[in-house]
Amino acid sequence: MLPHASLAADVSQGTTELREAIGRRFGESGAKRYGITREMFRGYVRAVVNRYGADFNQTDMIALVRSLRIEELILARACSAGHESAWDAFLARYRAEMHRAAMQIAKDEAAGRELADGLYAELYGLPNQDGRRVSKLDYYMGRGSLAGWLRTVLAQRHVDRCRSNARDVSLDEQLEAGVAFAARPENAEPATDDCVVKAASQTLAELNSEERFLLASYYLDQRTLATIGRQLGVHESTVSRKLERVTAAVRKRIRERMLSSGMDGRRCDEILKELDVRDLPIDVARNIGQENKVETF
Amino acid sequence: MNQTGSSSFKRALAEGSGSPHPDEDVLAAFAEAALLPAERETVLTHLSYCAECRDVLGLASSGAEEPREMRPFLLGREERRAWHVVIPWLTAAAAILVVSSAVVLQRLKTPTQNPVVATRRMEERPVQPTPLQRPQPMKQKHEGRPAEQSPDASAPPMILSPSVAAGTAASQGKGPEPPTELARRSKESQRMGAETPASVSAFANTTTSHALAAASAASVTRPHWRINEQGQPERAFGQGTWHPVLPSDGARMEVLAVFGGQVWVGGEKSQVFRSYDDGTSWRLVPLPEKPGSAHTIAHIRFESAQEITIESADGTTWTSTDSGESWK
Repeated sequence: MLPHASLAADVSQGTTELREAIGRRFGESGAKRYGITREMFRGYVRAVVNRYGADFNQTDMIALVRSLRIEELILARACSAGHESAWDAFLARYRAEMHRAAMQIAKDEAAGRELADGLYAELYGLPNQDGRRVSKLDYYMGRGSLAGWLRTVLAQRHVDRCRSNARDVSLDEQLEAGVAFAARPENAEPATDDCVVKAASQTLAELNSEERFLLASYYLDQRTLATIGRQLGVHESTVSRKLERVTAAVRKRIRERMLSSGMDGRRCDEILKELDVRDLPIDVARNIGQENKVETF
Repeated sequence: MNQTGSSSFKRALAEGSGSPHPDEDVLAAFAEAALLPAERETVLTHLSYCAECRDVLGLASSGAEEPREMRPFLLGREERRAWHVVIPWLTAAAAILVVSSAVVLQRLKTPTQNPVVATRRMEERPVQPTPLQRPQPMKQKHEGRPAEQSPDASAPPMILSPSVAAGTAASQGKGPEPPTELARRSKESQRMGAETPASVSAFANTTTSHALAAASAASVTRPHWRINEQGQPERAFGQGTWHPVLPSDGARMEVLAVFGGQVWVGGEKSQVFRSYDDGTSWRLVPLPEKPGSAHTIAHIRFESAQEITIESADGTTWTSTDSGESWK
């Protein structure tokens, strides 16, 4: 069932304030342009509130309604309903942008065009089992911009495609391509002191979600400061400062732990000077990804 | 969101977060700071665990033409009113900052030792950009060094590291062409596969595209650096063997510095080389001649990514304020 088709009674019976908040957004949505009535409009917005805000209190529900990209949501619904002028508006505003973003994501013109055309076909709508045309635009709920949603859908498709292509490569092809497979490590000697490993492991497990996100994005995913900044909605210099702060705190915590385990201060400094957590025999990704079980600092 | 095909490792991480993958709508709203605070925290927590969603978010961000609109323009009336209250305080804070900056600048005018990334000659001592020391590279970008990637005729000649030059010459009958950083790292990663720790291999298998795989492999096989007893810079990946990276022409290298994604080496005959691709290719840094006998480079200092000072053993200095493009 499509998201907007599930109009639950609980939200539709919302308070007067919620109904007023939804009603106020009708004027700015441009719904009349596409022949969308006030009742249909309420249905679309209630579907969004139902999907994302079913557990919210009344204040948050109203905040959710206010935060919606209402004009873009209505454009998407009008396109999905086959409104010609809505499609004209959509193509004028998003088609070029969609192709440009697809090429940027695929990093190849032909693959980008294929990616964008594939999505475009789904946006226009493919017939389902009942022969009814179902548009991908039905799944846009107006939480972020329509352009941002299109980019995210393209990115998700690209990731899925790369993953499925990777699975299709046979072992013979990999051997022909000279892929070297990792051998079982023999008698791997612990190069680092156990207490260093333990200190680093515990410290990484203590990080909060933003700290984990920063470290994982920067050191594991190798994203640039600018990209992380765009993802978090802050300037790259802010990301740089935060990273500096987190890494300094991590080093400090590791040092404290090593000291408390009886290590000499000078030895701690020597180790920390050359310490690269990624060289330690611990699974950094897993430690960063652990649930925070100890108290944070 | 379609999450089929994720590796067991990634699934384990995602399960660790205890939350379902956010859909495209929510991810897009997260990138545009359009979520409610509680939702944002939930999504951030999920992203901190889930490399797969971070990949999608990162790719979607890379497809954005420009940064999103500035937050103040999205504020509601009440929030704008709050800004009116805050602005006088911000002005006062800015004034204090200006005064204190002036005091600090005054102090900096007195000659002091340069504090940042001064790397002296190292005997058998590996140098590496450790992750916990890494966050200076404000200017480090994977995409953005057109001048280095497409050298023009006026640029100093590119020098390939011995191993790369030999490999290229053997495989092709034409002039050497430096491999891209990702391709090279990927190859290095494959070559070093037998020495990759199990935990790291598991991480490397979690990538979702060729480029992402190569980037992950790069994180596993970061280079370590040293200058050997013959004065040659050497590089090793992980626990691998050391290989010289610069053809020897008789001049001993004395100093090696790593700053962000750059590697600089300097030594006798005023020779300074720099590499942006972890030592695969090198460029001679053209230092202007200065009076005195042949200089031996002893220090390379980075005040920032733009401001670089090179100092010889006899105290002669060269400074650049444009990332080493010009010197005086």
